[in-house]
Amino acid sequence: MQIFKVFMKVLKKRIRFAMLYVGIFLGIAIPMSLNSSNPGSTKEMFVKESKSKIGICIFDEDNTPESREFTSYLAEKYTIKELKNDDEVIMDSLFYIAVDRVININEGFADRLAKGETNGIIDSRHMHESYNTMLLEQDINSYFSSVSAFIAGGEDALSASQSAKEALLEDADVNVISFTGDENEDYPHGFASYYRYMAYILIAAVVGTLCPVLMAMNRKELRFRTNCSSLDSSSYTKQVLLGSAVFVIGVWLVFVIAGMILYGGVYNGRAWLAVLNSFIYAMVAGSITVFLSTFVSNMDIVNFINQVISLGMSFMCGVFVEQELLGAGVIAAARFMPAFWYIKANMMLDGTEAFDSTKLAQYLLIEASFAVVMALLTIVMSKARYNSTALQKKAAVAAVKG
Amino acid sequence: MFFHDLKYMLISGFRVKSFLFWLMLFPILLGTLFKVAFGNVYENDVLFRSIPTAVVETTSDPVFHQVIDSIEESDEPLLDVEYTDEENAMKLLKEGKVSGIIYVGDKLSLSVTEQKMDQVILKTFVEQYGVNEKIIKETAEKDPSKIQSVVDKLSEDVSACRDIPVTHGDPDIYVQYFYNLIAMVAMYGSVTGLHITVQNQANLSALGARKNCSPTPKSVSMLADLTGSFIMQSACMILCVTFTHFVLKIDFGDRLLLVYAAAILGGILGVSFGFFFGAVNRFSLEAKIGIVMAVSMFSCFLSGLMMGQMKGIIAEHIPWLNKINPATVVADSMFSLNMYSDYSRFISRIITMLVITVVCTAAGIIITRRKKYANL
Repeated sequence: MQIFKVFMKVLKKRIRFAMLYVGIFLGIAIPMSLNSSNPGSTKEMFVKESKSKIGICIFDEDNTPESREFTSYLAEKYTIKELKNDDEVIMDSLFYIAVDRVININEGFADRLAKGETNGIIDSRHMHESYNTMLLEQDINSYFSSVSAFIAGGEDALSASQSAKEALLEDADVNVISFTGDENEDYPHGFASYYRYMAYILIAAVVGTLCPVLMAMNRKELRFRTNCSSLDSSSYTKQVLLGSAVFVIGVWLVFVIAGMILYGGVYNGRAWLAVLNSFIYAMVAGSITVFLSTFVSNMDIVNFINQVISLGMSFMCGVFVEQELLGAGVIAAARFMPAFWYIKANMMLDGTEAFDSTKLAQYLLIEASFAVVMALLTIVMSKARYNSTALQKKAAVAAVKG
Repeated sequence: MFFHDLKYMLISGFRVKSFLFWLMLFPILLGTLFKVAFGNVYENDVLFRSIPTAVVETTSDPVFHQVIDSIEESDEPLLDVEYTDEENAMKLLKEGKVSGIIYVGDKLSLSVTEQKMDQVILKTFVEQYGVNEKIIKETAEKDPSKIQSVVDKLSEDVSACRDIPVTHGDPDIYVQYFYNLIAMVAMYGSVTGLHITVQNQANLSALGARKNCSPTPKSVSMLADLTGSFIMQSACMILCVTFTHFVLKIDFGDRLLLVYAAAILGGILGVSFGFFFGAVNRFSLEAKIGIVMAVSMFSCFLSGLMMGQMKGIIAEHIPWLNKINPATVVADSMFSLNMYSDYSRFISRIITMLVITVVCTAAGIIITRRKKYANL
C-alpha cells in the first residue's frame, strides 16, 4: 500500500482547504437550519407566512386612538419595522424589500376618518409591484372600507375602527390539502435545503482538494518512477482510487453527520433516501475530479474549472435558485448535468413534487450514470496519457527539446 | 525610467494567469451565471400576477359573481377565476394550475395545497368577503334603517393609499447582484495593489531585493508600479462593465459613462486599499493575500454579493456602515445612478471613494518610503 500512503501524505497537506470549505458551509447551514422551526397549525402558518414575508414601516404623525388602532391592526398581521425617517434609508429598505410599504399617517387622519373620507387617507411608498404590496393594499383598503361601513352604520370613528379590526381578524375556513403524501415530515422542507446546498459544496470541496493531490500523483517525475517500478499499473490505479474514495466518503460523512446534528438525531424515513442521494452525488463529484486530474496540470486551471463546474451547476440546476424560477432554456440545458437530477430527487423527497418511488429510482440512476460515464472517460484518458508508449513519446519529445 | 518601469509592469502584470482568471474570466463566468439564474426571477417570483383560482359553487350567489366580475374588470385583477366543478378544481389544484379553490356555499371556504403568498392573498380575500356579509347582518339586527347606507359604503371602491412615487429607475432587485459583481472585481484589485508592496519589499520577494539595490529612485519605481496597477485594474473594470451591459444586457440606466467612471474609481480604490494593507504590516506574502482576500470578500458580503438583502438589512440597523464599506460604496454609486434622478448620492459615494483612495495611497507611500534593510 505504498502508493496509498503517499497519496495520504499529499492529501494531508491539502486537507486544510477541505476543512475551509466544510467550515464555511456549516457556518452558513447551521443558522439556516435553526431558522426552519416547526410550522405549527394552519392558522399559525398563514400568520407566519405574512409576518415573516411582509414588513411595513409606519410614521404616525396623527397619533390619535384611531391611527393607533389602524397601526395595531397591521401589527397583528405583518411585521412593523422602525426606520429612520430619511429618504436614503427608506429607498434602500424598499429596494431590498426590508420593508414592502412605508406608510405615513398624516395629521388630520382621525378627522377625515370620522367624516367617512377614506380615499387617499394615508400616504404610501412602495418600490415593487409585488404580491406583498398587493396584499397590503388590498388589506388596507378592506380595513377602511369596513371602518366606513361601521361609521355609516352609526358608530363613531374609534369604535368603528375597533369593530373593523375585530371583524377582519376573524379567520376564514381554510382546508390545506396535501397531494404529495404525509411522509415528508421525516424530511421537512427547511432541512431539505441543507441537502440542496450540499450539491454545491460537495463538488467545490472535492474538486478543490482532491484534484491537486491527484495532479501531484500524476506529476511526470513521479509517474516515470512508478511506471518503471515493479508495481503493476492496475495496483497503482486501485490504490489511488482507494485513496480518493476514502477522502470523498470522509467529506461526505462529515456533512451527513453534521446534518444529523442539525436534524436533531438519527435520520428517519425519507431522510435516509436523501442521504443515499447525496452519497451518489459525492461519487459523481469524485469521478469528475479523477477525470479532471487526468488532463489538467495547472492549479490556476483547476481553480477555474472548479468554479465553472460547482457554481455553474449550482446556478443552472436549482441549488441557489429554485428550479421552478429558472427559464425553460436553462432547465433544458441543466438536464445534462448531474446536479439537476440530484435536486429533482431532493424536491421529490421534501414533498415539493409528488413522491413516486419509480421516478425517484430513475433520478438516482441517471445521477449514478454520470459517475459511470466519468469513470469510463477517465480510463480512456489514462490509457491515452499514461501508458508506456505515451510516456515514452513524451520523454522523447522532452529529450529533443533538451 | 518611469515609462520603462511602467511598460514592464504592464507586460509582466498581464501575463500573470491568476490575474487574468480572477479579474477577467471569473467575473465573466459569475456574471453569466447570475444572468442565467436570476434573469427571470424578478418577473416570476417578485412581480404580482393575477392569482389563478378555481371557484366551485355549491349554491348560487349572485353577489359573489358580481364581486368577482368587478375584480376581473380591473386593470390589475387580483384573481384569475375559473368556475368549475369540484372534480376538475381538484385536478387543477393538484397539477398546480390554480393556487386555491374557493367554495361558494352558505359561507365561503378555501382549499389550498400550500401556505405561500398566493394563498395568503386568497385567504384574505375570502375573509374580507365574509366580513362584509357580517357587517350587513349586524346592521340589519341593530338598525335596519341604515342597511342601505352600509351596503353603499361597502360597494364603494376604496383606494386608501395615496401612492407617492419613489423612483423612476429600474426596481429589479436582482440587478444589484451585477453592481456587487463589479464591486467584487474592484475589491479584487486589492491583491494587485498588494503585489506592488511585495515587489518593492526586499524581505518579501527577490524582485523587491533587486529593486532596492538598483539606482532607480524608489519613488519612481513605486509610482510606475502604482500607475501600472491602476491601468490594469481599470482595464478589468471596463471589461466587466462592458460585458455585463453589452453582452448580458444589464440595464445600468441612461448614464453609462458615469457607471464606467464609478467602476474605474472603484478599481483604483481596491488597488490602493491593497497597497496600503501590504505596506502596513510585516506578514508573509501568503498571509497578506489571505487577509486581504478575506477582508475584500467580507466587504462584498456586507454589500450583498452572497445574500441580496444584506445591504437592506444593514440600512435598517446600522446605516452608517453602508456609507463607509468600500464594496457597498462602489455598488451604491451605480445603484444611485439607476434609482435617483439627481446626483447628490452619487457624488457623495464618489467623494467617499476618492477619500479612501487618497488616504490609502498616501499612507502606503509614507509607510514604504525610506525603508532600509540591515540584512536579508
